[in-house]
Amino acid sequence: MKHISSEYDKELESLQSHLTALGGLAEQQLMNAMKAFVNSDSALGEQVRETELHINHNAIELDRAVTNVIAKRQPTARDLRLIMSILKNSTDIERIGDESERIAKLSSQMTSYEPNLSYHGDLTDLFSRVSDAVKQALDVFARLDEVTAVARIAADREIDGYYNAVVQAATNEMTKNQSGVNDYLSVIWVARSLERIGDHAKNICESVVYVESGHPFVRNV
Amino acid sequence: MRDDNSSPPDTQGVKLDTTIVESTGEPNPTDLPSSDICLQVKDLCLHYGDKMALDHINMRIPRRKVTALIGPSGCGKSTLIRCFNRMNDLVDGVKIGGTIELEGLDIHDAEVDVSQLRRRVGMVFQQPNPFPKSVYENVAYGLRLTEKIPKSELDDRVEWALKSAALWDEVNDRLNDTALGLSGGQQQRLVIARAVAVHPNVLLLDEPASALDPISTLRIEELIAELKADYTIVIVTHNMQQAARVSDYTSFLYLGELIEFDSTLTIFTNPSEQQTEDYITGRYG
Amino acid sequence: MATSEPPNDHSQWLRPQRLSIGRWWKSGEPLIWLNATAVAVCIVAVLGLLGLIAVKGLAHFWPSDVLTIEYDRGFDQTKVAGEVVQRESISRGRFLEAYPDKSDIEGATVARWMVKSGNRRVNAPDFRWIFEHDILSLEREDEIVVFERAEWGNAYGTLATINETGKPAITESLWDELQARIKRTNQLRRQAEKIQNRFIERINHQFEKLRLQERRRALKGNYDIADLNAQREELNDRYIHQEGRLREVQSEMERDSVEVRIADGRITTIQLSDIIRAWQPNSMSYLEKFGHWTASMWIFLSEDSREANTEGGVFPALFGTVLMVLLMSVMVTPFGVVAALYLREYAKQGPFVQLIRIAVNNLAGVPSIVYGVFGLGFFVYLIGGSIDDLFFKAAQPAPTFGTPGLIWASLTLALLTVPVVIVSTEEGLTRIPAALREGSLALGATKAETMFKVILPMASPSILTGIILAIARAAGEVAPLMLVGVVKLAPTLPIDGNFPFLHLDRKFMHLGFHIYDVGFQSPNVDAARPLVFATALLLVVIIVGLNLSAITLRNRLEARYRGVLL
Repeated sequence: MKHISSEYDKELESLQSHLTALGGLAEQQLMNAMKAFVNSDSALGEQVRETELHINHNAIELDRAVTNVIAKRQPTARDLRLIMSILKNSTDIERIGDESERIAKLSSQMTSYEPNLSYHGDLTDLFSRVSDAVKQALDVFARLDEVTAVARIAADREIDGYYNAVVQAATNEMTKNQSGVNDYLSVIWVARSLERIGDHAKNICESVVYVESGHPFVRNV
Repeated sequence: MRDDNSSPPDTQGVKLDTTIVESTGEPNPTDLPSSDICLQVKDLCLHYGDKMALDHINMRIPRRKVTALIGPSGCGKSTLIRCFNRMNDLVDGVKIGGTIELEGLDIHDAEVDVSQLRRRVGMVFQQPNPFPKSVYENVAYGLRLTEKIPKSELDDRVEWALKSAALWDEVNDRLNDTALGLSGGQQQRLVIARAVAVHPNVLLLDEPASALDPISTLRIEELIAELKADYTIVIVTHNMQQAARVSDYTSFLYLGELIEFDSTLTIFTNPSEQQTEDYITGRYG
Repeated sequence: MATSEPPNDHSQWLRPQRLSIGRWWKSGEPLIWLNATAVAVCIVAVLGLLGLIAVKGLAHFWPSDVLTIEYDRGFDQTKVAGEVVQRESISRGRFLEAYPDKSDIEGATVARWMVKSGNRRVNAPDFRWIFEHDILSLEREDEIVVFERAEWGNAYGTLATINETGKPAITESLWDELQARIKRTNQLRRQAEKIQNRFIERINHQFEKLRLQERRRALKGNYDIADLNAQREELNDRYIHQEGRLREVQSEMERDSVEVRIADGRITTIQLSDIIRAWQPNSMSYLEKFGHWTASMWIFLSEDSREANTEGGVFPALFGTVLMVLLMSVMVTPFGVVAALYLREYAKQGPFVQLIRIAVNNLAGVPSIVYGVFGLGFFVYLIGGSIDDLFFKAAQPAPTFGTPGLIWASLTLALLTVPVVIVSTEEGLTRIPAALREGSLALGATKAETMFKVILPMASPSILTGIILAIARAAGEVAPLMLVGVVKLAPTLPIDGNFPFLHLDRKFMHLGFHIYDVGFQSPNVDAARPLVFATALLLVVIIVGLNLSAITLRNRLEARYRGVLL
């Protein structure tokens, strides 16, 4: 159903597409950061850090646009919830960018070390789950697909499981190999960032539930 | 929403009072006890000739709260508010079915004196309609109708009413000037003072600010918030933001039917009915 | 892209250079000119009419010079003194038709003067046409005196002597002596009038009351009238006493007379009791003339008429007109307002009420004489006759109310003007916004309270407008009045000192009818003509005055409600 004011519709659509674009940027950022970390590619890491500035800038612009729409349209009901969610999601996406930058930063500290493949593989698994979750979350929000959103929220536990596995493995390696403590700590940091990115993705999914149902998502205990 | 705590929910620990912000908003009016209800509308139907203007309205309007009636033009909200003081009696060919109870008394009862009813249920109209008399005479008009009040007491009551309507400070030095010299917003507050002067239980406001500028509108809204302490207020408004600002309860009418009646916050954040949602978000009906 | 289009071509916005009739017509300007012309014509017509009436009417009071004219009457030569009232030229052809033997007169037109020469009694006619070519000599004598007489119109001549009881008494400083003695006679005249009006009139009134009382008793079979006879005796004594006084005063007035030499040399005697005023226009200064002019107008306004209304004042007609209009307003206002209130506020709007409304509007278009006939048949004969039968049996067969009179005239005019008041009041009621009615009702006022406290005060400007229109219509109406109460000469005013002071049953005089009577029923048309203009001017001034005062009042009221009325 469209608004009587088509201008209002366009403004809402534009907010949505801006958010999607911002999300795409953050998603790319995450990919590059992980690649930089895995390949110890400090040049790529540097590029990630530069892009981060753009993300921050875009997130600020999006906030401003949201403020304008609120001031002009005084949105109510679902419109209000959508706009509030866009505002919060922009923060979540911006945080995803922050976490990606943190991963990219760690890549320069990892140059001397070739991590053990076994937990490296765990980390890659965790990464693929998380990047998948981010992609899905952005997609779900773009489509405001409540059913998928609920499913994705449940899937966050899976990510927690992978995270625990990586932390466990890294801890084990650290006790075996004292000299690599710093690198394993970096691995744990990366895992920690990925897990947080997963949480942000989950928040985005929860916002879909809020927009569509009118109630904040409450976890079934 | 940020969920930094990834620990499972069944973690044992000290039970904290986690309530930081009270959930605001009134309960749904159907859940209120009867003792809190001022006006109870049951199966109210109203026909203008053959045309049905109100279709089985059921509503419980709580005491000393502001209840807003919103809806598109011609939805029957003005007709409904005019039922509460039987102003519709003046229109030829009106048929009314169902009951309206004011504090438990059916206002259509044969023994009800319409004049007395209208004194208990005051009304303020869209256009400020002060009489072409002095400020004082306007406020004293309703008082003079029924009783012979000594001048000093009349003075007191006029002053009280003007103070209630937050107008005293602006007009106390020109009580004997014509009311037509006041600004639109002052005129509307004068009309409110005039209604308040006879001590009504209910105040009906039929789009009271739609003819006023934004600042005067805010003054009226502020006044409504003050008057709420003493009066049950029913307000019809075209301005949804105004309904959201001033009212505790909001009802949405469409084509003579009551689509939804709930606390204002619920209506404006999460209405249950699609029609309500479409209306308040400004979508095609 | 900018190069492909002509930059800023404004030509289509500009006024075309070439004028064309079609475009000029479409511009609407001709219509403005047409309207302006129509308005101008109306204004010129109205102002012209008012100007004519004003000039002719006001000039009547101006003491114009008296010329002594010696002229050839054909059979002889004579001298006459008089005022030139009118000068006109007639065509030679027309002149020759009347005087075929005077073909020696030259010129395409012939000028003739109308001279008011007065002295009707000794040197008739008092108005005469004199051809300019017949005039032998013109003279302007300073000593010539104009006498305004109670009877026989003006006299013109020079003073010879003043006689006292028939014998010549004064021959020196005649003019001053004459003025002093005229003053004395006028005082005596006022005294006589006072005795007549205040005492004798009252005694007559009491005689009439006694007669009615006697008759009332007779109707009841009571023929014991000893006490009435005693009263009558006493009244008779009083009457004889007053009559004696009156006769005394009158004989005092008869004392002086003046001998006047008229232009042709003859001497005539005029009783001073006959003279109202005397003046010497040829020796008056401009200021004196102005004083005389205002005094004349005051006399016109304040005195009774004389000589079949062709002389003297119009006070009774003025009084009757104003009183009748006031009575009419008092009757028409409540009628009209109540009817309008019912139609607009109480009656259920529908075809029936619409029909009534149409009928009311059409009533305003009924010829006024029809109202007169209706008034005579319904009010005078039916209602008046019934009132006589019920309450004034004693006076019968002489009718009291069963004859045309003030009340019936007022009622008839009220009927005539009630549509105006209804329509105007209704219009006013529709202009009161519904919001105010609702505002009052919402405060718990009943419909009647709302009506009296809110609606009627606000409708008052419109009600006043209705009354203004009604008055304007009624004051100028003559035709119906001739049937229901107006007479050319009423012996008494409708208000006097006898109970009940306002005599609604009396006949009265009216300015409009006065104009008709003086102008067209008078035996002396030439003498009456200026009075027609003066009376017409007075009538117009009264109507304009009434209207202006009501309009002022209306505007003041309307100002109070400005911004509220729709």
